[in-house]
This record gives sequence, C-alpha cells and structure tokens, in this order.
Amino acid sequence: MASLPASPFRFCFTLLAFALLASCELSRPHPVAEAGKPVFYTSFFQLPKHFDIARAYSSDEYQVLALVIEPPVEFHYLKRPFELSPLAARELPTFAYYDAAGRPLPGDPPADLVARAVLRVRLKTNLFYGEHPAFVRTADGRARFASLSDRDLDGAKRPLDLPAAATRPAVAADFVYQWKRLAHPLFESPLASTLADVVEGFTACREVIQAAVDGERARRKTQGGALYDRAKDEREHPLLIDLEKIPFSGVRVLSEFEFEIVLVKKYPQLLQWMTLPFFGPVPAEVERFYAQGALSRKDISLDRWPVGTGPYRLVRAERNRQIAMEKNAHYVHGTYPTEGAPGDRGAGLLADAGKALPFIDRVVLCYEKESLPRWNKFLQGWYDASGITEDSFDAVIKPGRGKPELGGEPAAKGMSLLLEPDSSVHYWSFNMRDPVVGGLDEKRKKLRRAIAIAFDVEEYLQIFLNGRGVPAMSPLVPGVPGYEEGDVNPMVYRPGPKGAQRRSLDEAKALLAEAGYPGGVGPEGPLVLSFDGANAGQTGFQSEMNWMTKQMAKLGIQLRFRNTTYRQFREKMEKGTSQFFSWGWNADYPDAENLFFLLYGPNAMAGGGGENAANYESAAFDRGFEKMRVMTDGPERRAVIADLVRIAWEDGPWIWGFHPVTYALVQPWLSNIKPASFINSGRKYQRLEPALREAKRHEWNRPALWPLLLGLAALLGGGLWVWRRRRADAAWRAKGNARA
Amino acid sequence: MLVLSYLLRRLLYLFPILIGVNLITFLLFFLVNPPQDQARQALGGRNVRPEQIAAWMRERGYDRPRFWNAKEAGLKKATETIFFEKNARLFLLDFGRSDVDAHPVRTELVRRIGPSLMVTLPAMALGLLLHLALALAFARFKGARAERGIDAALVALMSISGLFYIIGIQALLGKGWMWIPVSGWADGLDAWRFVIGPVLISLVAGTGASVRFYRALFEEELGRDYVRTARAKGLPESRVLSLHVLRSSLVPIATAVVAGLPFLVMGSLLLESFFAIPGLGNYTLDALNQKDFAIVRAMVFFGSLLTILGLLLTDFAYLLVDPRIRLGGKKAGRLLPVWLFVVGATLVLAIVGHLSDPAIRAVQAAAPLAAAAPATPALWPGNLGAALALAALILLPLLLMRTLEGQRLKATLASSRLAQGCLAVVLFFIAIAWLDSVRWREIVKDSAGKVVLDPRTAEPARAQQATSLLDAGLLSAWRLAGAPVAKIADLSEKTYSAPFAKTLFVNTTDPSTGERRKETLKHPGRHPMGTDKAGSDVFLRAVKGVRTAVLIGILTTLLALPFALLLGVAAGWYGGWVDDLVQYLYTLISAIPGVLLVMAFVLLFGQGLWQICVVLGLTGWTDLCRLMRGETLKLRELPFIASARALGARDARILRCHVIPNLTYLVLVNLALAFSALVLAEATLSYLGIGVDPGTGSWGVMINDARLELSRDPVVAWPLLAAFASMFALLLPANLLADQIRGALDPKSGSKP
Repeated sequence: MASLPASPFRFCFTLLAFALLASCELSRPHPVAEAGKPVFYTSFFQLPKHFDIARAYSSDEYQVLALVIEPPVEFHYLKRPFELSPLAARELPTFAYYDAAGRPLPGDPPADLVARAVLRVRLKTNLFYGEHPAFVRTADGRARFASLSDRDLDGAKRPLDLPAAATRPAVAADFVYQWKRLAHPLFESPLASTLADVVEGFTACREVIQAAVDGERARRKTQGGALYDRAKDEREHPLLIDLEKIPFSGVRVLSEFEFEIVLVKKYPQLLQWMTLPFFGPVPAEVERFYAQGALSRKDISLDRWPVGTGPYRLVRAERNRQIAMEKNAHYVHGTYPTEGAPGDRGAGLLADAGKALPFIDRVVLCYEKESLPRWNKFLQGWYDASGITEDSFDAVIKPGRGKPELGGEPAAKGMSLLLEPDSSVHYWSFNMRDPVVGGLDEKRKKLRRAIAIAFDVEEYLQIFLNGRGVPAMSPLVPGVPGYEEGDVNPMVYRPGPKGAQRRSLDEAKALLAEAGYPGGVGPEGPLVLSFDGANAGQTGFQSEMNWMTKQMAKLGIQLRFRNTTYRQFREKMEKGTSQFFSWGWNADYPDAENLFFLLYGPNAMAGGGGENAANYESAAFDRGFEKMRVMTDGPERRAVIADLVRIAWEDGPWIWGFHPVTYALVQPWLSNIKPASFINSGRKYQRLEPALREAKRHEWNRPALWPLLLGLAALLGGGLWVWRRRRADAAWRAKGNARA
Repeated sequence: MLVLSYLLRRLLYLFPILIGVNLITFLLFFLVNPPQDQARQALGGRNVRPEQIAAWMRERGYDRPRFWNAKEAGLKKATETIFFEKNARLFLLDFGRSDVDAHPVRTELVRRIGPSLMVTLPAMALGLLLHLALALAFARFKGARAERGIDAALVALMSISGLFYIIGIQALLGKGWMWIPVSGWADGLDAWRFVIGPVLISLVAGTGASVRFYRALFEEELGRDYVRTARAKGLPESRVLSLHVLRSSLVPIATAVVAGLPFLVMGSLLLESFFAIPGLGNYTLDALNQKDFAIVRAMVFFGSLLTILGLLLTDFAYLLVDPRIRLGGKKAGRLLPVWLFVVGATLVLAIVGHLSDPAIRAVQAAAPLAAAAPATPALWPGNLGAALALAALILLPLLLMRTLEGQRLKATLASSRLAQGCLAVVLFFIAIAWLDSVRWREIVKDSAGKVVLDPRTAEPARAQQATSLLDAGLLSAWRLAGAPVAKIADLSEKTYSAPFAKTLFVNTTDPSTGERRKETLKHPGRHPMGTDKAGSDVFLRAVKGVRTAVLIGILTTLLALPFALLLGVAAGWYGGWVDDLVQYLYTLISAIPGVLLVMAFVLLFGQGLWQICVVLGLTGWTDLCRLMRGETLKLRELPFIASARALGARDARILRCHVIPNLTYLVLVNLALAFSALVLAEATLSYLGIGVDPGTGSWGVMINDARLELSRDPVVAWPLLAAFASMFALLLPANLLADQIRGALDPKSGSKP
C-alpha cells in the first residue's frame, strides 16, 4: 500500500504549486521584462526562406523586410486608390523617354516610339543604416571586422554580438550595388528574367558576373589540387565577386545621392516594382563582411541578417521560432503622413500627422503553426493583431443584415474589426488546350459558360469562407485602376433591379444542351470532367471535393478527381494535359498588367512555364494587352482594360472565382491602423498603449481556482473513504479474531 | 576487456545497418525522386524557369552524376558524385545544409535537441513513475469488481487519438483555466512553464498503453511460485509487489525504456507543432511541409543512428539488470554474411544508379499514378479485396480449429459472454466493411428517368462514382424513414447542421435580402449525427470509414504476416547466416523512422488506401518477426521437437506440424493488438497529410478536419464525436477480445481449456 498514494500526492503537490504560481500570471507566454513596454507581438505560420533582398519574394518575408529595407518608393499609407510616394527617393522619380535617334520625347509617348527610357532617382541624404559591425572602421579607415577568426566569434550567434557597431548614410552606389546583385546568377533572383527584358545591359552584366564566378572557381580548383572540394571551400571562403568593379550600363551612379536606370523600352510598371525590397540599398562592405569564412561557418549571412535604412533593424532571426526587430536608432527621415483619404481624419488616422516614426520600439513575431493556439493567444491579449479564422467566424460576427459587425468575446473585450480586400484572385480554370473544355469555338464557350453559371461561387464563399470574399468578375482585383465596383459579368449574372443575380440553372442547362451535352450527355456518352490537383493531404479538402462534385452534378456532369503528388501536378500543368483545376494569384502591385498577364497567350504555362495557367490564347486579347501594358493610367487605358475584360468574359477561360477579404481583428490598445494589401510596412505607422495592454491582460487572464479546490475536495473525500474502509476492515478482522 | 571486445563486435554488426539505412535513403531521395523534381518542388509556385532549376541544382551540388563521375580523374570519379557528397558524408556526421535556406542542419540539430529533451525527458521519467504506480495499484486490486471497469477505461484511453488529448488539454489548461501558456517557448530554465502542458499530455496519452503493458508484466510475475511462497509466509501484498514483482519485471521495463530513448531526442511531431516548441519534431515537420529533402534525409539518418545507439544501450541495460545474461557468444551475430549482403546491395544500387534516368522513368511509369487514370470498370476492383478479406476470414478460423489452441479458443468463446459479445461486434464491423467493398457503378439516368446510352457502345452508360451494397442499404433505410432521396448524394445539406437539427448550424447570407440567418434544412431531423462542412451526412461518413479502418487493420496484418512468420521461423529454426540476414533486415527496417518511410512511399506511389496498406505491411512485420524468431529458438530446443527429429521427420514437416501451430497464439494476440495500433496510425497519417486519398471515407480524415471544427466557436463537435465513437466501438471490443484470446491461449495464464 505504501507506494500507492505517492503519485496522487505528487500530483496534488504539483497542482498546489500551480495554484500559487498561477496568481502571478502563469499563462504569460512572453518575457515578463517586456511587460509595459511598447513591444508589438504577432505570429507567423509560414516560414520565411530568405532575408536576402535579391531573393525574398513572399509576404512572410516582406512583413519583416519592409520594416528593415527602404526601396526608393512606397505606396502612400492612407491614400486610396493606391498612390506612389517617395521613400528613399527625395521625390517621386519620373521617366524621361527618348526615340531611336536619341531625341527626347515629351510627355507620355506611344510605346513604339520609345527606344530608351531613363529613370533618375535622387535620394534623401539622411538615410542611415541600422547599426552593424560591417560599418565599424579602424583609425586608418579600414573595416575593423574584415578578417574575423573563429575565436573572435566565440559565443556569437549574430553579427550584433560583435563588440562594436556603427552606421553610415546610404548612398546611390549602395542602390546600384543591389541592382548588380539582382543580376548575379548565384542569387537566383526571381525578378531577373523580368528585368533582363527591359533594363539595358542587365543580361550583359549577368554574363560578366557569371564569367567572374566561373573564373574564380576554376582558379580555386587548380589551386586546390586533386582533392579540391568546392562546397566545403565555398563554405570556408565564400565566393565574393567584386560587384563594384563590374560594369552595368543600365544602372549608373550619377553623384553621391543620385543614380539612373536605363530601360530599352517603355515599362512604366518598373516604378511599382520599385516599392518592393528588391530595390533597396546593399552596402558593398556589408556583403564583404558576410563573405568571411568564420561567419559563414556560424551560419551568419546576409540571407539571415539583412541591413537596411528602415525604421527597424533585425535583432533576432530564428526563422522557425522567433523574429524580432528593434528601432533603428539612426532613423530620422520618416514622419507620419499629413494627408489621407476622405474619412481618415474622422477615423482618427491623422492624429499623429507629421510626427516622427516609428511609435513601436520592438516588433516580435512568434512562429505559431496551429491556428487554434494562435487564436486563443490573441483572445487572451498576448498577440496584438490577428485575422479571424474561418472557424471562429460565427462566434465573432453577429448575425443580421448589412455590414458585418463584431460580436461575442472580441466585441466584449473592445477589439475592433477591419475589413481588408485582398489583392488576390482565386479561380477555377479550364485548360484551354483540352479537347473537351478548351478552345474558342462557340460550343465550348457555351459549355464553359454553363459550368460557370452552375458553380455557385456565392455559396462557396458562404460555406468555405463565411462570406469573406467578393465574387470575382474578371481577373482585376479591387483597388487596381480599371476595377469597377458593381461591374458584373453578363455571361454569368443577370443584372436586375435588386442588383445582379446569378443566371438560373435552367439557362445553364440550355447552354449545356446547345453545347452538345443535353442533360450532361454528349456524343461520347455522359460528360465526365477531371479536376486536377495536388491537395490530397490538405485538411478539409474532402469537403471542397464534395462541394465541387455537387456543383457539376447540378448539370448532370460527373466530376472525377485526379489527385497526384505536387510534382506530377506541376508536370501536367507544364505539359498542358490538365483539364480543370483551381489556381490563384496575388498581385505584386496594383496594376492591371500584373493581372491580365495571367491570360496573355505568350505567357502560357504549358510549354513556356509562364503564369497563364489556363493556356488561354486569343489574338484580340493579346493585342489589347500589349497595348495596355505600356500605357499610363487614364481614360484611354481604362477603355482598353474594359475591352480586355469583355473579351475575357466572352471566352470564359476561367470560372471567375473570388477575391478574398481579410477580416482583421485589432486589440483596443492599437491605433493608426489602416489595412492595405500592397503595403507591408504598416507597422511603422502604428501606435500601441502598453499600460492599457497590461491592464487588460491582467483582467483577461485570471486563472481559474475552482478546479483546484474541487480536486482537493475530491482527494480529501477519497482519503476519508479509504481511511474509513480500513478502519472498518480492521474492526471486522478484530471481530473475527475475537470469535476465533 | 571483455566489455570492450563485445562493444566492438556489436558496432561492427550495427555499422552495416547504418549503411543499409543510408542506401535506402539514397534510393528514396535520389533515384526515385530525382533532384530535378526536388528542385521543382522546392522552388514551388511562381516564375520557375528551367534555368532556375538548373541553377538550383548546381548550387546545391545536385547536378553531379549519382554514383560514378566518368568526367573526373582518379578518386574523384567516386567522390564527385551525389552519393558521396550527400549520403556518404552523413557518416562523418556532416549533415549538410538545408535545401531551402542553406542553413547547416547540424547547427539546428544542436540547437533543437535541448527543447525536445526538456519535454520528453520529464514526460518519460514522470510517466515511468506514474504508470508503474498505477499498474502496481491495478495489480493489487486484481479480481476486484472495479477491475473490468478500469481495464475498459484504459482501453478507452488507448483508443483515443493523440490529437484529442492535445487539443483538449491545451484548451482546458491554457484557454479555459489559464494555468499554462497556450503555446510558446522561452530560453533556459524559464521554459518550465511551457513544458507543463506537453508533459501532462504525454502522461495522460501514454497511460492506457503503458499501464496495461506493465500490468501484464506484473501479472506474469504474480503467477510464479516465489510469489506464492512469499504470500504464504505472510508478506503483505504491498511488499510482495514492490519488493519482488517490481524487481523481477525490471528487465522488460528497462528494455522498453531504453528502446524509447531515441524517440526522446527526435521529439514529438504533434506536440511540438501544437505548442510551438522549437524542437527537432517541429523541425522535421517543417522540413516535410517545405519539401526540404536535405533535412529530411539528415533526420532519417540521425533517427536511425539513435535507434542503433538505443539497441546498443538495450544490450547494456540487459547486462546491468539481469545477471544471467553474459557477454560474447553468438549474441553479436556473425559479421561476414551481413557485410557480404551490404556490399552486394551497394553494387546493385550502384548499377541501377548508374543506369539512372531511364530506369527511374520506367519505375515511375509502372507505378500506379493517377495522372491518367483509366475509366473504372463496371465492377469495382475493391471487390477483389473484399473477396480476399472474406476468404482469409473463413480460412483463418478453419486453420485454427485444427490446433489445440483453436479448441481452447472455442471453449473460451463458449464460456465467456464478454468474448462472444466482442466477437459479435468485431464481426459486425467486418460485415459492414465487406458490404461497403462490394461495389458497382450505377446506370446513369437522365432527369426524365430514362436510361442514358453510351453512343459508342450502345450500352447503358455508367456513373463515375461506385455504389456499394452498404450505400444501397443505407439509402433504403433513409427512404423507409421517410427521407425523399433518390441517391446518396441527395442527402446532403448546404453546410453544418447539428444532429437531428431542423436548421443549419451557422448563419448564411441570403443573396436576395442580404440577411445573415439560419436556413432550414432540406431533410430536417434526418441526420442522426448531423452534417459536415460540405453538408454531407456525418453518420454516412462514419459508416463509410469502417471499411478503411478494417481494411487497413486486416489487409496490413495479412500482408505483414507471411513475412513475419516465414522469416522469423526460418531465422529461429535454421540459425546461422539465415538468422544473421533476417536479423539484419528487421533491424534495418525498424531503424528507419516509420513516418518518414511512409512519407517517401506516398510521395512515390501516390496517396491511397492500398498504398498505405502496402507500406504499413512492408514495414510492420519486424516486431512480430522478432517475436517469432525468439519463440522458434525456444521451441527448437524442446524435447518434443527432438523426438520428432528422432522419429525421422523432415524439417518441413516439423515446422508445419509442430513449430507453426505452437506459434499460433502469439500470432493471434499480436494481430489483435496490431489491429488497433493500425487504425490509430491511419488517423495520425491523415494529420500529416499522407493518409488515404480524400475521396475515401476515413475516420482519420474526419479527426483531422475536426481539428479545425474544435476551434470553431460555437464548437462543432459531432463529426469528431462520430469518428471517435465509431473508432471506440471497434477498438474496445477488439482489444477486449485480444485479452480474452491471450487469456485462453497463453499456456502460462493457466485458465481452463
């Protein structure tokens, strides 16, 4: 019996210890030292791969990089529709155009006249990098940490662990240096192919760098002898090409704070691209600093520790655990915007107008893969901002008419709801090269139209996104010039007095009959379509499959699922052997070009590897697109865009799908928040009241004591029962003995 | 000195296993999934061009030949290859760099072992104490009225998927009572607050299996003579247990504990993911999700390395706890055949690797890829499986009846109401699975009810989806209940509805008025378990999951059984090099982390019920094989075998008539145990995204979906409860039946025939 009670007692003890400690916030997931300070906490669940700005190209990376790196231009935080404003540049750069003979062309000339376009960027003179050891110099002006040994780095995990750090202003040469890095073949920049088409000398620069790389590698190989191990050697002595010496005719330094970019054709979208971190500055000495073997062995590289002139500098970069940024002590040039969109003043968004940025001292991003803990921690006040998961939607948004209203626990806690239209389009698409559903003849168009009517996108949004989305009418996403609110696709919707209504199923059936499949039965028997995908393991995909099957069944069409591995799926897409699939696109910048190119013939995915997944090819559309692509926004361009939309409606290569709307929740202690899908640097404008936050956290996180008391009571009761049993036992035995 | 030489021999023996693991990983990662494909997967979505793929491969050194580089000179012909660079280096503990972000794997490994251990070590230590204490208490109350109830509760604990414990305890302690942080981590000792939740979950989740295991050990000891003697001398029961029984059971306990050590280091995939613990489990899971094959490769190797170290430790644990075991002798196995085998396998692989691409393409073409799935025949191929399963079910009892064990079993069944009940339930489930396996494709009718003809063949056209006997039966049942449904698909609603509800569970927006409200159902009150997200009837889904569970349970065991029996008996009976090779094989397979093996297999052959059965079967035979080998070794020395031999019986006859029948009870008991483990495994695989394909009904898929539903507010619990109830309804009787069978057949248990 001796060993029996030990474990319940131990358990009880642990419980007691819990209770004592619970009163001092046992559930706090963040360090106590940061309580009461303006530290912003949020979570991320997709791992950033690169922080090297030549490579980074995803929103997970941009939510960090946009705060650290400052490219020449940005989108205005408050104005809508999106408007470019200077960031690192002193004023918004404009293109100067020249014809083939080198004569300047005034204004906005037609693209076929333009032989050269020059963009001059004048930089601010007060852009200072976040402190970094690469900038530290010795008395004689040489870099102090240029030859680090393993011993110098003892115990160091980050560049900031070195004994000194310094700053310097960003100059034009730093921006030009990064342009050369974009051309660097080893960095595999995702933008390289786009830039090679438009920037003068880009390919040439790339080739020179490649030759330099090859030459250096060959030299090392001969030097290394028979046992030369390239991977190891390049780890020990990272390959560093002196890009400062590499010529790049298309991008040149003009003066200390001015540089120019020369394009071989008209490409106004370059300015929009230049809002992305790709075009920020990289100082040559920083790259030289990181190219030291001792750092490389410690896995300290530019790809992990970016350096920039932004309001924050990275101080912790464990990409699968926690990322933290601290105020850049030398950041002086940023101020809160003084003008905004109508209504912004009333919403209090201009209260801080003209004040120096940023307001938050430290930004901490925690890696949190599962949505459930993420959401719970937000409700407890440990995260400062959150989306609404589809699953908690019903508890959070009140039933009723009109604009969605916050209810439930978040409303009671004083959180507020922000609606943010996404810059993406999700769609179902037909492979236009498929013999059954593809092609531009009348019958196939009718078949696709019938299916598009039957696919009840509104219902899809209800079931799978709680209505958090707008049915898409064309590829254009909301906020892009040319997107018209209230525009309806007449092929699928019938305009009516109460707004557009989806065309009836009877119409769809009639169209299907005209297409040669009355009741879903065609000349070759019942129509069976195949959905291609690689979603087999995805949680909840089964529901989506069932839903799609139901939509097709409305027309008597049978849907079969060809689920394969991702590799096989990609292969099908690239060979053009798929039939029906779903796809999505997130716009890089708010311009119709970045969306219509999804339907541009030469951009077909099959064969060419482009982003036109539908392999749609229409001569009229391609002509219009080529024209629209180089026009500047204005009524003429809008007319061309409207034409393109009409052609796409008519041909119907997609079921137009939807644009998701993000419902963001914000804690009561945050202000200056305006959602925007193209702006990643919003954090630098936001303000946080730490005292209010601490008070609320205390209020929301009082540990429950009753289970403990209940447990104790149960334990006592149990003990009593055992004790009485034993006494009764003993008495009974004593009685027996006595009788004996 | 003796210890040293023993250690050396063991190492020489275990080293080939590492080589084997290495070869298998190479086979999986480079031959079957060539670097081009890895590049494509890694580069993923946007703007991927052939030059980029080439550059990706060049930068990571995947552009070299696989085994033999003819272009280089001298030694470099062998070293400038993928095999040498990526696989051979693992032996030097050079784990290379991540494919995705080029960070060194070893740095991460070192950084992440700590957090993993901080969770698993206390979990193991406390678990050992708690579970042993509970098992002792349980053994103490043997025969009490509560015993059966406690046993059922333990089985219930075992039948619950780990995901429930995680979600439940996290929600209760973290969100509800706010005793622990919901998730997160802190550096250093500050981490203790974050450890409580995961440790508690491990304790609870492990209770069922561990306590039952320890209790079985204690019961065996309790039946021995020395215990009777001790009792007779008047020793109090508590002392008998703690002094004698516990001490004598230490050997198997130590084995189990030591064998579990590698898993401590590898961390738990699910726990670390839910609690955002920066350990190795999380690392591996991220690598799997990101298709970072360099990390996965390294982790497979690292895991195997730890397993092998665990084996070594087990040997030493034996030495420490059991004085009867001596060093040396045949224990270390003979080295030559194993080494010869390894060299042979390497050569074969090298040749295949050298032929490479055409060979790979041929293999891939032969693999059942869904890329161009042919039209399904009128009758479903599942019928074959159903027929097979049925045949096995009829044959197995027939075979059994010929043995003494069969007679004992029959007697037990006849005398025990519980056994009869359990058997009936299990048979009921098998019957459902069988009904669901007999399938055909219905003839298509148009809206007017006229049969549609296929113009090409002039025969009635058939539907794409197969219908089973079960579907037809359920449909009739619904019709009898008054539901106006023509086919199963008509039964669905728009989205979630609660059991027997009249309206939808959630608000939807009426497109014409813009009002958010709850819509009325198409079949109000006719969904006994509610409907799921896409409006499918949950009861139907749960019933459709039976086939998957039963098939995975039975087919996998049937696949694994011949391997285990043949190889195990051969190894035990013949000894010598046969024994060495068989031991090598099963150690090799059990050394590779199972989940990763399944993952690789699914990556290759696609996702599906059959694939899962095959891969689980191919990997699942090792435990049983080990057991068979051990038993055969014992049997071989028994007098009745010697007599048979003396009478001039041949090996084949002795094996058939004497050895195998004597192994039957072990096989049976193991089958029943393996069955529940497999049904649960399916749920975990679904969570990792490598379960059955989404078109197949499965409790695992339901549980996986429920992960999101549980976080809904208000909670949608019925799909989860339905899956859980079905699983429990099958596993509880299966486990109880296994207990009964063990009781009846185990010669040591002493129950009456």
